[in-house]
Amino acid sequence: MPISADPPLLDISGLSAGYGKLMVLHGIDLTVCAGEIVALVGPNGAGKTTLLRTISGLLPLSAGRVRFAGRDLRQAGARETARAGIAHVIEGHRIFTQQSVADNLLLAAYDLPRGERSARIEEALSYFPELAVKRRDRGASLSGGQQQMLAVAQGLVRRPRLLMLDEPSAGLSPVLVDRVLGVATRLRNQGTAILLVEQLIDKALAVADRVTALAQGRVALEAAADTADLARRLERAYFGEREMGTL
Amino acid sequence: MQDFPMHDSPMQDSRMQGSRIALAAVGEKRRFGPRWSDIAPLVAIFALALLVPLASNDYWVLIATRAAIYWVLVAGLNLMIGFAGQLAIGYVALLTLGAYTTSVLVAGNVMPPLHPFAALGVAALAGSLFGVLVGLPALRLRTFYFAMSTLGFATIVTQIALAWQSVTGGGIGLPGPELPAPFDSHAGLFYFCLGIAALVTLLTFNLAHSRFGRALIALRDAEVAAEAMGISKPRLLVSVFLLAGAVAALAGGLFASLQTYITPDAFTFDLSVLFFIAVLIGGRGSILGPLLGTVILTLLPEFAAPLAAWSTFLYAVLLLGIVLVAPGGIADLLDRVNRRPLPANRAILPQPALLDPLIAVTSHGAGIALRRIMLSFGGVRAVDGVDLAIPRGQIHGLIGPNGSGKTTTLNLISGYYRPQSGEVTLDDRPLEPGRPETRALSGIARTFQTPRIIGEASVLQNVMIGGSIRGRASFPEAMLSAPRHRADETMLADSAGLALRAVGLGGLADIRADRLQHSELRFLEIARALMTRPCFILLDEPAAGLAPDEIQRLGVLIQEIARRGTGVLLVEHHADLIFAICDQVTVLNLGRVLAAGTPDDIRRHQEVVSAYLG
Repeated sequence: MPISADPPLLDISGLSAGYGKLMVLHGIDLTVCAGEIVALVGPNGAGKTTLLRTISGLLPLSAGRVRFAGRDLRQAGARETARAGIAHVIEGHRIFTQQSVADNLLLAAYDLPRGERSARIEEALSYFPELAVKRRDRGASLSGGQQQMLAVAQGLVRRPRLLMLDEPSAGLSPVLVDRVLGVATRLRNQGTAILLVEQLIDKALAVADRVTALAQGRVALEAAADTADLARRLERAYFGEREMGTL
Repeated sequence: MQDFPMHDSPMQDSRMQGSRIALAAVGEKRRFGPRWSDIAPLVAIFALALLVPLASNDYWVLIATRAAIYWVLVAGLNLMIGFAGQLAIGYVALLTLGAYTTSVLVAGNVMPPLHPFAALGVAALAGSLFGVLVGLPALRLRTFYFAMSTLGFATIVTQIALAWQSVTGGGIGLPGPELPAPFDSHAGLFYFCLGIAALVTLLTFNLAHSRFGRALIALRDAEVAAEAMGISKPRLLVSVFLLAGAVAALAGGLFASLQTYITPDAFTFDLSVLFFIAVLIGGRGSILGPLLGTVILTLLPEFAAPLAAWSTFLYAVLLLGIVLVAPGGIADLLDRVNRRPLPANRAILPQPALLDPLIAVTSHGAGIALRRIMLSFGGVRAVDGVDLAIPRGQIHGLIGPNGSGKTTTLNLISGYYRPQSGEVTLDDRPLEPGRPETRALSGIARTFQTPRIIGEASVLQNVMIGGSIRGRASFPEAMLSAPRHRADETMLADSAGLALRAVGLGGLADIRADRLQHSELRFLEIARALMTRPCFILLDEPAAGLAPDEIQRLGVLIQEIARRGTGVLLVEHHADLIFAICDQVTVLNLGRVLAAGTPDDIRRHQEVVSAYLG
C-alpha cells in the first residue's frame, strides 16, 4: 500500500450505521488516500452499499468518525458531502429517464460555475463516445448499459476528490467494464481517490491498490491488492472469518 | 428508471437468528388466504358500530349512518385508487347520479313510481354503466390527466342535475326516497346502511385477497411485468369500474334517503376530496386503513364543530400530517409484521429437484424463431435483420456490446415492440406483435433487467402473481369467495411456495418484497416466471449484481430448468456464465448478428473478441 506522509483523504474509524434500530455496520475502519483505488468487496448483504450510503450522507451514522480532507463529516448530509468533493455513483443505473443525456449531466454539474459546466460535461462525455453521439436523446431511450455509462459519467462531471462507484460493471459488456475501470485508473493517476464496490473481483483487484473485504458488517480482511495468497484469504473472508493480525 | 428503491437490506445482525427461524416456521405452516389478524379489526369495527344506536342519541346515529354510506362508496373507490392506482377524484359524480336516479324513480317523475329497493337496484346498474364510462379514459390517460377527466365528469353531472328541471327539480331539488319499514326509522336506516357496508367490505376484502386484487396492485406498481404475466389491464380495470360505479351509486341512493331532500348543493366538491383523502390517509392496498380513514374524516367535523366550515382545510392538514408522519398511511402504522428484523446470512440455495412439478413441457414444436426482424427508433436501427432460433430444452445465449439490441430483441419476442418487418413465430405460428399480455398463455415468460416487483406485497404474493393466468375462478366468484376461488388460492399459494423453495428463497415467503436484496429479487423473478409454467423463459441479465457463488448457483438452476424441457434465452454480460452453460450463442453488434454458433466457435471468433470480450 502506498505509504505517504499526508493523512488519508477519507478516514473512517469505528463507524457503525444501519436502518433504524437495525445495525448493518459494526465498527468499520477504512482509509482511502488521494491517488489510490480501494476495492471494497464481500458477499451480497455484507454492508458495502450501506457503507457508501453512510459516507455520502444518505444514511446517518450511529457511532464512529468520518473525516474527509481534514473535515468532520459526521453530521453532513448528502448535499454537504457532494460539495466537499465526494461523488457517489449509486447501484442500478439510476438516471433521470425523462431528461436528455446532456440534461442529466447538467444536473450533475448543478452547482458548478456556469462557465465551467459545458467544458466539464464534454470532458465526462469524452470517456464515453457512444454517449456523446446520443446527447440529445432522452435517458429512457438508452439501453441498460448506456444508462450505467451515463451514471458513471455523472459522477465524473464534478471532478470529485473521492469517487465512489457502486458496482459500475453491472449491465456493462466486458469491454466496457475494462473501459470504466481504465477511466478509474486514469483518474487515480491524476490524484483522485476511488472507492470501488465490485462483484467482478478479478477485474477489481487488477486496478486496485488495496482491497477491503466486508462480511456481516465488519471488516474481514484488509490487504494490498498484489498480496500473494489474496484469493485464498478472500475466500475465507467471504465466509465471515475474521483475520487477525494481518497488514 | 427504477420503479422500486432497492436498499442494501438492513438485516445483518446475527443476534436476530432466532426470530428468523420462527418466521420461517410460520411461513411453512400458514396455508393460504387472509390472516385472522387482517379480519379481526374489521369485525371489531362493525361490532362496535352495531352498538351505536343503543348507546347514543339520534344525532350520532345520523353521523354513523353517513359514515357507513360514505364507506360503501369509498370501499369501491379504494379498489380504484388504493389497489389499481387510478386517481379518480371526481367520484362525487357517481354519488350524485345514484342519489338522483333513486329519488327520481321513487318519486315517479319520468315513469310510474318504483319500489325504493328496485330503484336502488336500478341506480346501482346505472352507476356501474357510468363507472365504466368515467373509467375508460384511464386506459389511455395517466395520473392527473385521468384525475382531471373524472373532475370534468363531476361538473357535467351537477350541471345536468341543475338544468334538467322537469326531472330533477333543478336548483329546488326533490325529496329523497323513503325506505319501507322497518328501515324508515333512524336506527332502521342505520342498520340497513351498516348491513350494506358490511357486505361491500366483505366483497372488496375477498377481492383484495384474490388473484384479481394482486393483479390490480401489479398493474399499479409493475405494469410491464403484469402484462408479461398475462394480466389484461383493460379487462381487469373495467371489472373494477363496474363494481366501484355500482357501489358508489348505491351509496348515492342511501345518501338521498338519509338527506330526505336533495339539491345539487348537497354534492359539493368537498365530498369528492373527502372520499379521495380517506383512501390516501388510509394507505394503499389496504381495506382497514381506508375504512378508518372514512370514519375519521366523517367524525372529524363533528368533534370540531366550530371548524365545520374549515373541513377542506382540516382534510389538508390531516393529509399533510399523514404524509409527514406515516407516508404509507394508517395501514402502514398498523403493520407490525414488517418491522421484524430479517435473518442475517441468507444464502440463496436453489433446490432444482423441486423443479419437476413446476415444468411441464408437453408439445415439441420448432420453438421460438425470429426471421429477418427489423426495428428502428427514430433514425436508429435498433434491430437490423436478426435471425434467432430458441428450441425447447436448450439454453441460447444472447450477448453483445451495450446498446447492440439485446433487450430490444427480447422485448420483440415478448411483444412490447412491433417489428417493422420480419416475424416472430412460436412452433411456426406467428406471435401477435404488440400484445405482451398474450405471451404468458403462449408459454413464454420473462424476467427484467431491473427487477420489476411489487415492493409492498410479500414475496409469496409476488410469486403468486405469476400464476394469475392459471386461476379458474371469475371476478364475481372471487368477490364471493366461492369454492373455485378458494381452490385457486390454495393451488397458487402451494405452487408459489414450491417455486420459491426451488429457486432457494423458501425462507423469505412472508417478507415484504422491498426488504429483499438485489440478488434475491433476481431469483424471485425467476420463481415468478416459473409460475406461468413456461415452455420458454427469457432472462434479461439475471446475473448482474450477483456475487460469484450466486452466479454459479444461478447457472446450475438455469441448466436444470432447460434440462426439464424449457427453452431459455439468456441475455448476459458474464461471459464465463454464457460459455459454461449455453448450447448456442448469438452475438449482436449494432442490431445485427455478428456471430452465431457454439460457445467454442464464439470464443475463438476474432471480431467477437475485439468488439466485445476484450
